[in-house]
Amino acid sequence: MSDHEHHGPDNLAHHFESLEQQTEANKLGMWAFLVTEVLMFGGLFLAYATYRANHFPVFEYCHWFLDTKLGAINTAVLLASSLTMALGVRAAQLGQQKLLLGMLVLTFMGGVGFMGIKTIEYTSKFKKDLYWGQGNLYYPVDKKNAYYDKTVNADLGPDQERFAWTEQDKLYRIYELENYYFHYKKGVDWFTPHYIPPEYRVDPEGYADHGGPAEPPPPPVVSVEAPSAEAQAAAQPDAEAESVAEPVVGLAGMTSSDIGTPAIGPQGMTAGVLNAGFTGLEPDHGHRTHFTWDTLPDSEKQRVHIFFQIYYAMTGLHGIHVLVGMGLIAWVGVRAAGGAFGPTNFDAVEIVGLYWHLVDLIWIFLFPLLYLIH
Amino acid sequence: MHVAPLWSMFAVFGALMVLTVLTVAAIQIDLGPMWNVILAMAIAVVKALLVAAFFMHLWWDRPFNAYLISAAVVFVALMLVYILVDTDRYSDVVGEGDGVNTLQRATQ
Repeated sequence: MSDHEHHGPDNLAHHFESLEQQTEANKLGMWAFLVTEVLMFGGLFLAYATYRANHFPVFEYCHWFLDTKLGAINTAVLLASSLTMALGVRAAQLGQQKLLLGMLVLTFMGGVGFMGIKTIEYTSKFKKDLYWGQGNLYYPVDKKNAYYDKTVNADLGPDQERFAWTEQDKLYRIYELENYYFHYKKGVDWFTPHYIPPEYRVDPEGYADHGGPAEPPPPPVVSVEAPSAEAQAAAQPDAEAESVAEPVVGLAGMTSSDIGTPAIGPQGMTAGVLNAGFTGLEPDHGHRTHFTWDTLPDSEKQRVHIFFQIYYAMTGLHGIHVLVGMGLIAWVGVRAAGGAFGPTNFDAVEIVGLYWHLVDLIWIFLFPLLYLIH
Repeated sequence: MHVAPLWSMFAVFGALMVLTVLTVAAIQIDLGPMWNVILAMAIAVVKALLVAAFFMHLWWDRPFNAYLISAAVVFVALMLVYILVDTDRYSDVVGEGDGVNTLQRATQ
């Protein structure tokens, strides 16, 4: 068993030559794990970017339901806990046992503060019936409707009005849901993404005149390019014979209005990004577009839940990471109280610190993306 | 073993707090949706670099750890670019115009 003899400090594993090599290997392993964390959150950031680029009005409207002040405070809390964690690692390296324990306790308290504020935020969402999943089938109430109870919210300004929910509001919301359920029972699948009930459709083709799904309109004329004058002239004599010229090639069910007009600016990705804020609107070249329920495009009113779905997914996964980090800090803290760490043995503190800093890093991006939409 | 200098920890924390205030203030300025989000992300990237370089010790570590995490970020960014390539290239409403939605068409 001579191979397994200890030649160095107690905490040096026999397959490492030196403490320094052991520390390097431990940190490399943690960084490899952090890479997978970045990729996991990356998927959520991609979902966020796609939906925001395609449905910016939804994001602009919905982000007003988040409390920027609480979000900013949470950012500060998490940054401060990152500082105490870094100071804790430093204390461990220098063998300052009491300072290390104090820093770990402060860091843990930072996590408690963050989750406490998060709880306040989530609770306020739940009170407004903003949930995730199936509970997130959420359609805000048009305050101009008769169901708005002025006597309850008379003292609220116009900005707060839409945050105040009365029993009548809830009734109306359920009525709306039942209405959609009614559509569903009639055979129209409103679970289909982007489905718009007939009464909300903006229909240049005169589809609404045909009475909705019960009576489908005649097959749409599909034309990718407008027919030239000669082609139209050539088609004229045939019109009487009821054999309308077949339209130019296109996808079935696609109308010319679906193809849309070319985006302003360079083509391709850049055009998409340039137009990211103007979906469904005239480009307004930088002026503030503040959406209310009234100015939100009709098609986007059906997608309000998308924002909260993404909000809960991103902040929820982040919150789980905070809880895991708090557990790790508690574990390291208990060991630190027993005097386990010192200049030759601080890897556990440093690695837990790396995890905690990554949680901070994710929040640094989540805060402006969710709370500061413009 | 490298011990981070004490002043650098507090300097980084101070910079992070200043940048947090800055990003909240910057969103009040109307630059249009594109430039506002670019500015916010630029500030976030600076904050992230500060945290990664100093709180996470990458500045003093062997560079391989930084290569690893950079590669992850680069590949996420690459995927983001390819996903955003065809933004706004689709019809806003699936199946509008003929009263038949995608699901119904598929089952017909």
